[in-house]
Amino acid sequence: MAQVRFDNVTKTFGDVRAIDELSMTIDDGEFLVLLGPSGCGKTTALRTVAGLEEVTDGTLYIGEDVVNDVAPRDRDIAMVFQSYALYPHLTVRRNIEFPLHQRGFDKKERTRRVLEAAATLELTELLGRKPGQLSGGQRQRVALARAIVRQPQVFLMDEPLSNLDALLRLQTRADIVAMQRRLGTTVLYVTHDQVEAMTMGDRIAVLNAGRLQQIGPPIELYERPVNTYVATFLGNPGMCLAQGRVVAGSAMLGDAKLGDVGVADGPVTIGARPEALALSAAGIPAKALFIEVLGADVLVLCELATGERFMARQPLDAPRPKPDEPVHLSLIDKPGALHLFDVGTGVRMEAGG
Amino acid sequence: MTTASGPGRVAEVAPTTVAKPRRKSRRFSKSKEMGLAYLLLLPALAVFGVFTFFPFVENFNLAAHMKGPYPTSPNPYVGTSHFFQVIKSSIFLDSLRSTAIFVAIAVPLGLFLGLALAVFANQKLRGSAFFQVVFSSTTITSVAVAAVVFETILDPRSGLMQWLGVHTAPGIQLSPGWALYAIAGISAWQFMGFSFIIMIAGLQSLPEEVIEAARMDGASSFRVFWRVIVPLMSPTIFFGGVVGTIVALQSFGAIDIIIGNTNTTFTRTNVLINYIYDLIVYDRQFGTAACVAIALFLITLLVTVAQFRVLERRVHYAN
Repeated sequence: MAQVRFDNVTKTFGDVRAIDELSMTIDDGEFLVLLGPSGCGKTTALRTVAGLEEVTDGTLYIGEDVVNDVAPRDRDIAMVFQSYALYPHLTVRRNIEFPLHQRGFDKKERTRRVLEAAATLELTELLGRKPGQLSGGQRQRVALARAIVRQPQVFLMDEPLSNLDALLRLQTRADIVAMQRRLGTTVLYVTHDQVEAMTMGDRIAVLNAGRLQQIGPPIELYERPVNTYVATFLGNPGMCLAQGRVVAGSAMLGDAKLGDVGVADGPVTIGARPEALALSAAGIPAKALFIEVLGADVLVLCELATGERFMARQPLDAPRPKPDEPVHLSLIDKPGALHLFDVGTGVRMEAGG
Repeated sequence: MTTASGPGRVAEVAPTTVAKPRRKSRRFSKSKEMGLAYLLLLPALAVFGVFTFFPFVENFNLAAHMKGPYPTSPNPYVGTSHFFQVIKSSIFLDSLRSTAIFVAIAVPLGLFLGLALAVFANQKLRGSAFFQVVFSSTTITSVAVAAVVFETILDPRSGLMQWLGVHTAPGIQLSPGWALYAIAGISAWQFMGFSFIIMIAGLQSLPEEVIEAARMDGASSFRVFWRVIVPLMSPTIFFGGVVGTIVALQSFGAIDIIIGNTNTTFTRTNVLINYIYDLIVYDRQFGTAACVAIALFLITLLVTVAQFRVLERRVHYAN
């Protein structure tokens, strides 16, 4: 087991800065999720840890060792690729055995470990098959077995669930977390799916354009996003934003007063999550645009007079507006319901700031 | 109403009157289409017939007759006597041996060199495009040019061997023990260009993540090559092997230019095509030559079938 530490790591491809001065630490035994949209540099960050990309600048540590110039095979890490990258010419058994074979384990130990990993991932009956004869979910499990079999210091996972169907993804998500808890291995997990990030990670690191936006436990990122980027990216759906003002200590959206906030007067960006908004008799005037019945609750997409949009989460049994019907939105009375961000920089504004 | 019934009646009549000729015309157009199809096939069929099928059949005819020295001489039917003559001939058996050695060296060596150079040129380094052009160029080099170049290199008085301090008299290509190997090496060099082109195309279509996975799983470059790249490349290698064998069985140019048939090493490098050529040009034994040609055809067929039966089982095709 080991810690992984990025110290001002930069990776450029020509003029493109794929990772820009990234500094963060993945603790020993931690499950850290790197979250961001495609092209944000999260896969590049993972590949620098793997040794498949060379770091342009900065220092990368695995455990106590600087690994900038260490070959992939000497880093004691295992990776699960998005495409699984199984060896198509080898059977499941030989696939799982491959890393052990390369590291000179004797036959008895290899067999013991392969059977153990296969049992863990319910692959025992598939050991004689080739990857081409397996379903997507089975291939994914073989890739996991190949990663766990040699008990590396760090697991790297590059969107390992993105090729699975929704139901299987849900189940495998839980399986991976359970497996990590049991093995206690440090995991660096890359995904663009914020639900995966929220449910799997001990902590989440949100990346945008190669820069680290925020790192912390999922609920902290959800409740106190440091900027509008994190606020809108996390959550399903994300936070909605609108331009408002602070007048005499109160946040105002148009003529509607949303509540007292401890920030200086002036223009602000106002953010609210769907569950912090309710349809009510009075409040911010808006027009219902689209109503999504999710089963447990209902999402109502509303448009303000300014054209900005908010979403409100309603209980299933609440009266539902029809599309194009005028409605009023009000903020629920709960601390943390209202988020304020700087209009220029998008940075979170705190009471007293 | 009257205006409406007018067109209505016409419409009623129209289908019956139109339907019959249409059915006829469809039948007509079908045969017309067939005719067109044959017409379009004709050039290819004519070329195939004149240059492949007719000579192929005529060759059997030739093998079964004794052809006289002049066009007007009688051509008596001799049945299978030419065949037995060939099979019993020690020159034919020597020629078979030379051909086998030649193919067994030229093809695997050419495949290996092509693959090794392809792995080298496939690296994302500056100038790899230049090397790709250089390495593939051997296949478009005329066999005459290649022969002259290698004759110069192997020349015992002025060539590279002299410079390297290897003294041979006569040159390697003219020494009875080495001539065949030298020629096979030159042919491997020529085949290397073709081999390189198909190998680099194969390498570029390999899944990169599988190779990365092997590197992370602890395999050295050498092992990645032998345990992952070579198995994944097996369809390409197999294809190159089959095509290369067929081409090598028909090798002639380099041997004719470098060795010729006046040289003392001639009997050592007398591959089947060379033997056929000599039978026709110098000995005027058309029937015997035709028999050797049939033997070469059967050998090519057998070797190719054997390659598919035996080797292809070990080839891994991606799913």
